[in-house]
Amino acid sequence: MSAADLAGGRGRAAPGEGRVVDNPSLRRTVWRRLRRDRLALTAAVFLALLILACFAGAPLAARVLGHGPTEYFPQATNYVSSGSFSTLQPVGPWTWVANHGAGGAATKTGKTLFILGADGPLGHDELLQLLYGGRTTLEIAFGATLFALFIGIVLGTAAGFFGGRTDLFASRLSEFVAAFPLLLLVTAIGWTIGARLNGVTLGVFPQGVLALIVVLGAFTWPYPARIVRAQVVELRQREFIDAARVIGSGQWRTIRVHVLPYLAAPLLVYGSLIFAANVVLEAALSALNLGLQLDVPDWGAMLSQNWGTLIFNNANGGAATVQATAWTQAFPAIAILLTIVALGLVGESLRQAINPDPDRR
Amino acid sequence: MSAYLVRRLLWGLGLLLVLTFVMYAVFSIIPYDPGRILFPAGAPVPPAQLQAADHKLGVDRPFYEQYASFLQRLVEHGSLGHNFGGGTVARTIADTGPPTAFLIVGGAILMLAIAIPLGLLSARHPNTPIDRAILVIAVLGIALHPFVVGVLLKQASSKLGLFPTGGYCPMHKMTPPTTWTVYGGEQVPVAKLSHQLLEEFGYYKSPSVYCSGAPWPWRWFEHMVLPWFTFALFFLAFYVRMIRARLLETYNEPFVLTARAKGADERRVLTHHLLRPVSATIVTMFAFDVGVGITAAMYVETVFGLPGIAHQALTALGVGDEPGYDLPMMTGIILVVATTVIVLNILADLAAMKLDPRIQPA
Repeated sequence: MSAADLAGGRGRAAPGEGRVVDNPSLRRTVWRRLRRDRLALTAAVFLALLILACFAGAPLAARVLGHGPTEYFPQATNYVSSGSFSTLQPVGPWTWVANHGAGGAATKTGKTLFILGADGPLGHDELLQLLYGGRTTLEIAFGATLFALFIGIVLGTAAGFFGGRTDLFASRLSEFVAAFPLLLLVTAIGWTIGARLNGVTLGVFPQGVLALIVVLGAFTWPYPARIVRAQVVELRQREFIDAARVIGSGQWRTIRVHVLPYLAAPLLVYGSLIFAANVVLEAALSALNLGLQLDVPDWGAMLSQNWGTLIFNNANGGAATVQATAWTQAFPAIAILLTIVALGLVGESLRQAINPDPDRR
Repeated sequence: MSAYLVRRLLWGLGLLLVLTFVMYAVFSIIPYDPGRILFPAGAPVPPAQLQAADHKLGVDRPFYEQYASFLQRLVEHGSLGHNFGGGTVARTIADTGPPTAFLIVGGAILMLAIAIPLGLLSARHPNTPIDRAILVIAVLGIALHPFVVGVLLKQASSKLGLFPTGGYCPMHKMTPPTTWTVYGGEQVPVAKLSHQLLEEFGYYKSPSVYCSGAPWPWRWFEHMVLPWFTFALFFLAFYVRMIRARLLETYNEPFVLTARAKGADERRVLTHHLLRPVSATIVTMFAFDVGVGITAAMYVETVFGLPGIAHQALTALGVGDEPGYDLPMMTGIILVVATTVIVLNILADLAAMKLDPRIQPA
């Protein structure tokens, strides 16, 4: 398979390339290879269901259950006291709770079901937190990864293809970003324009999501940039690039048609790893005035709630808490785990399927 | 080569100047009054006293003047000055630097010790179930949040009684203090205090107490084991995938074919021809990742209660305590971390050129 097939498969071609545009062989080849990979298909179905559950299922579940993810239910906690240590322990999975809502204002009557129990001393619904939190986390991690990949591809391709001063500039810029402490910038933004930045939602995202996407993306791009640069430097020495030049292909066309399709394969797996790193970093940043506010559920926050965050670290002292309510953290931990493993599998399978240079040894 | 080195060093110096300047500029625009640090938390402070406190800390001057005096102090005396709390910045960095350095270096060694065999195995059997299984194992490390890895390791370790689950023991030998500070700052001989009182005053939580006893290098080692694993797992996937990709690329290089044609056996091809370009990439990637490593260290140090520089940075930012921004402390930490990253990057690029002669200075 040639790179031209790949470019054609994406349906981007100039007039006169009709044969390439209509050539379905790439799509068919990729699909044939993907179909054989049962594990990756299962992972893909899981991801599709997850996205469906988080984006469409979350409001639906809230409607059916009759309470929201951030309403707190004092009735969904039990006061537990042992010795000098006392706490409000969340109720377990599948518990019917008096539907009083916040502050005991008896606006609603009857009982409401907590399918996965409550999440902590505040008595939020764990299932709804999980669904709505998944939405936030997926938005941030996907957004930041795409943003980082975009900058990385642009700068990495330019550096690798043009070399010389462009390369020097891109290398030094990425060195600057690597040496620049992320935390400082985040604190600075959090203290100064954080409130305004968090307010930018474009009408779609929860508060703070866009700010996190920009900051995370702006600091993780050197990773893809380095991979892209190395790949492009190697590609530039290949015969087909020379051939393209010889038949009169301009620089931009050469990049677009002959270089870019080669980048998809290596970036697929690294993309899923960057996604994973973003999930980890996102929770840390929210603790520094920038990003998510306390009432926006997300997996990172759910995870660190009882185990301690960077701000309130009770990971050392609160052994009793860890034991008693470990299951409230197990749900987000498992959700993050499954998402990232599934993404890694799909990425790897897709990489194998579209790789114009099959792995050989 | 020397021209290249001079250029890199000059660029690094410029970078440090920009970084520290940004620190001071940011400090001047955040809505926060450093003078409050000198007063008890939450207590109302008369404006006149607050002004006097600001003057004492030297933060009532314009920020560029503060920055100029910071540079002057640094160049003339090689000093990083005092932090807002009154201690010297250099002292704090000297105290908190080693745990973080040990964490990152040890964690990196452990990570490579796992990643290199996995990467080799993966590249030996590309696109097979073995390859797939290794991918999943490596991804598990990053798919589990460092908090989760940390807590799980702590739980397992305390169940099995293997390693301490928190705290840090320095490399040098420590002797328990004979007197202890009780209420009101009074120093009382330890022998006169009951076990319960000592517990209450945090005597047993002092490193000088829990670190004495067993031979000291072992004490240090056993406190680092769990943090090393937590740190290593976070970076594992990136390196396994990189090593795999680089190996597969290198397998098809003409020089590998030549080596085989000349009769080199598998082992010799691996050690003399395959691993050289791969290790060049590992070295540059590692130097690049030290900056990210500091951020990862924040998590690890928080989970395991290591008194490291990353945790010190959080404290200086006022995280977890009073909101604050200890400017001299932060500038000192950033200066040290950025200098380390820059120097490591230069060294790594030099090493990469030695390892893989095809790499040319940029």
